[in-house]
Amino acid sequence: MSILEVKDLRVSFHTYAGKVQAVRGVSFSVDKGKTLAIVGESGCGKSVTVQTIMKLTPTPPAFIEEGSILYEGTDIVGYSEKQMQKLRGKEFSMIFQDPMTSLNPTMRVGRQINENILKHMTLSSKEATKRTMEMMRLVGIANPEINMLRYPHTYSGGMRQRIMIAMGMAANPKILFADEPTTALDVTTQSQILDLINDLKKQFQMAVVLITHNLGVVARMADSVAVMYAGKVVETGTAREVFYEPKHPYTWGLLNSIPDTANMNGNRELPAIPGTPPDLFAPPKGCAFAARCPYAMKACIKAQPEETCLSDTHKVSCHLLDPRAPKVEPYHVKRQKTE
Amino acid sequence: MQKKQVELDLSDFTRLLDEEKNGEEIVRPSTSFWRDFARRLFTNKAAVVSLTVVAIMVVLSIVIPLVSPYQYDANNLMSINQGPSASHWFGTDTLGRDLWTRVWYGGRISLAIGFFGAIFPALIGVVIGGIAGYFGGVIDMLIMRVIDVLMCVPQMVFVILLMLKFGNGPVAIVTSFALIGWMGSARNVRGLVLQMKNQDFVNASRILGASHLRLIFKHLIPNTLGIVVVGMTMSVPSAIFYEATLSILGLGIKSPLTSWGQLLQLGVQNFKLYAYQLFIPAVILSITLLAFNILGDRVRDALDPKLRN
Amino acid sequence: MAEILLEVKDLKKYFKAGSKIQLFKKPFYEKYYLHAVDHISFSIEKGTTLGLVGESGCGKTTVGRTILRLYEADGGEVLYEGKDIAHIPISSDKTYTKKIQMVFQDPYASLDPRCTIADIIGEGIEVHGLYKTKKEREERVCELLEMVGLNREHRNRFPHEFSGGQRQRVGIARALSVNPEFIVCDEAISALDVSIQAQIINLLMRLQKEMGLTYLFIAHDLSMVRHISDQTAVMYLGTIVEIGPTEEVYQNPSHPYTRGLLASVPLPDPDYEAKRTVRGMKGEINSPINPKPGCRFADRCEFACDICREKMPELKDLGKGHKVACHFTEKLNSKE
Repeated sequence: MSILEVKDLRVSFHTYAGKVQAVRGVSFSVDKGKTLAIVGESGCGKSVTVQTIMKLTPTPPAFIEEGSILYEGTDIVGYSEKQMQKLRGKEFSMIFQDPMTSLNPTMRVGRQINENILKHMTLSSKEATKRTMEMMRLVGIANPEINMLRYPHTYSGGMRQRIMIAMGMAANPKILFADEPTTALDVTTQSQILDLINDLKKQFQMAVVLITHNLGVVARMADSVAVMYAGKVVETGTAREVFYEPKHPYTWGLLNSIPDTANMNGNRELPAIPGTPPDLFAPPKGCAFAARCPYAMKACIKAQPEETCLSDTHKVSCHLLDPRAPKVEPYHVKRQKTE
Repeated sequence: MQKKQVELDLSDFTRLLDEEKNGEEIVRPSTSFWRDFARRLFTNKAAVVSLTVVAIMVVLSIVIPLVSPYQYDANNLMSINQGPSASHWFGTDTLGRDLWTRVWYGGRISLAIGFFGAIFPALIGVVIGGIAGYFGGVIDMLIMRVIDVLMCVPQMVFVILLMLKFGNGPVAIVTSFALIGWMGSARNVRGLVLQMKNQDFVNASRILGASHLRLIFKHLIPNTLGIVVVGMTMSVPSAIFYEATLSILGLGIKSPLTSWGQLLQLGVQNFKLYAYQLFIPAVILSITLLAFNILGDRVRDALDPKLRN
Repeated sequence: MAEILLEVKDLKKYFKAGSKIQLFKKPFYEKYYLHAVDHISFSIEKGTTLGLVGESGCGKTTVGRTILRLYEADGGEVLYEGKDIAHIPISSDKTYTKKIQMVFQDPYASLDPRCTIADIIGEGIEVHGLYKTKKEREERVCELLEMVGLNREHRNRFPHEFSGGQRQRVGIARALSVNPEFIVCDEAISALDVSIQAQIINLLMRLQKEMGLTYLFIAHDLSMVRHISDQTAVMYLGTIVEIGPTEEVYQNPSHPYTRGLLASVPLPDPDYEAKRTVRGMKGEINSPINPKPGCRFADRCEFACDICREKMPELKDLGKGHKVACHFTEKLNSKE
């Protein structure tokens, strides 16, 4: 059963220069205890989507034009700030790319976790402190008795991200939104944090919505994947479907852009996607990817493609799937040598 | 919302040529920083109103003394202390001088002091602050200590001393403003330059072999101008105000030359009998100061939306 | 063998990081230094690329900036075509600013927001007086823009109107404007999106082929470094732990740190990731301030022994120019 379902969400930012359509019809659903990864380039609307679900985007300038967000079957689009505050932290929680900006620099980390616990759970302060230490141990910080008395700036980036996760997990949320949680970290630390999120997900049967642009991270974490481009989901499916049978040229482009480490042959050109994503200030009439797509047809600039269901989970929006379209050579899957 | 379904036929499913695609297109119109600033400023009602008020004051100050049948310093003992009338719109003063002419002639002096009293200190401050921030080290230390010392002296004392030295014409007033007013903008600019000088765009020019002068005047100072312009618009009213204060105290402009402050001083003397001699210049001065203050505020908002509140 | 264009010998750069006075302990007065670059040496042949990888804080950026003389070296030499340039201040030198250029990490901070694209690209041309007339300069700017795949109509626009990838290409055009021989790419792709990274890498490789450029490619993305580099050097806390021909380093990583680093990179293959068991390493990078004697990696290394904590290992040649700084290289390699 899906715990969160987003249907045809449209979000616009009203700026002095006009309307920027940041999210132009996004639908996806997340199941309990599963990870959905939203992949896409910066500016494709993936962060806005999640911030809208959390109601973290200020209105104005951001407005939900239409669509629904169903959390356990109830539409939360019309929820007031007060109702959302109950959801945030307790049911939803979020970790960000830069943990320093979301931690209070003048407060000891233990107290910050503590406050979060007290806000959402009815515990005595002694119990809360105990839980704080428990949470810190859970995210892999040894000696919480000492470490909870430190200030955020004395921690490294990876440790701060652990603190953020401890704060987010404090009230046993049902869904964890992770907005590029490892982008600012080094690979070795990234690996540790990803493992931690995976462990917690299994332990608490929590749903994770992971925003990232790193396809390696997606492969490592995701059960299902939504590929976003210019404010729309262009392809969605299980991780295996998206990685092994991708059907959208943008997904092909993304997968191709990664150098093939398994078989290297010198100065080969990477099959890059040419051009630049469109400006959502004035999105194109047809498919937003048409201008960069090597397979673009006249239909692509005339009309937006409809969503085609290839299986229960695999949905693609592309004119190439129209029976009248010419056949194009399928994407060649790169598989790693297993150790 | 019902989506419009575009009918597609078979001919639409042919491959597009590369020329038909434009992946590098930039759809937004091109704007420079200053053009963007102007657009934001001119779409703000309060800014437009206050700018209009300032413009009217400036135009009247320039035009009226030229076209008026009276001279600003021509005494007429036959018509002293007359109230506003058809021949003397703002009345006359104790020496029978036409106040309408005198107010706008005084406007010339006051506004000129306002503008130049804001521009000169800012210019000096930008150059000195830019040099201090860029070179750092001993130069920076020396300049900052000099500023610290100068800041300790009460400004009024400083101005009075300078005016004793230079006399009390408008040029003297502007000079003394310039000599004491640059410290604030120098500090601001120094701080910004310190922050900016290790940014990558400055490093890039350094790697390209750009000279110190080029780095300071082509890259660092243009990037601080926003703050400087805000400071400047804010200090126009305070310069006008400062001049008025000095004149009221009898230290500023001396009759027969006139300024709004000097008119106020004369008005205060005859306040009980001829209140209009005080109120008319006071109202005009207040409106101008208000307009400048609002304008300064909006200029700041328009220059950097992040600085708001 | 091609000739060596740039050679770094025993380069050292420490930053002051404060000092403290202790009343009851010895030493009474202690100064702290951040050992950003600690005696490293490498050389780059003309027309090739050296990839420099490592975690943030390992000093790779400092190496690049010291070569460019944005920082003054505290010791060692930077030999460019055999001449030591490390101690010529950048502000008084026109010869080498024309030969050595840089592409920056952040395409947003590296372009002056108040200048048009033409001003930015034309700056080097102006500074070095490369073209006399205004028209020639304009023509050159357009030529450079087209070389990096932008339209000449873009030249009068301002940086904020471009996307990240487009700006990075402007940054490359700026570096190329003075016809350099050597370019330091400091994390030139890490702020960009995946699809754009590939564009930039292709561009850099194409330019290298056409103009015979030499690159020092600093990055933390291991797969991109593998793609672009002929030689790869792995840095850890200011020292080079492993250096050699790229394929050698990636196929037979011989330093425990290199192995851990490679094992940490997630690959875009769900089945492979699900099966994968060896993953990364524990712990975090130590502080580079007054580091302990011995191998810098000893605290995180699973094979560390007493000797590792006492003596800093030196780079040993394993053949084919593949050098590793570890006391136990032979032992580790024979285990498999």
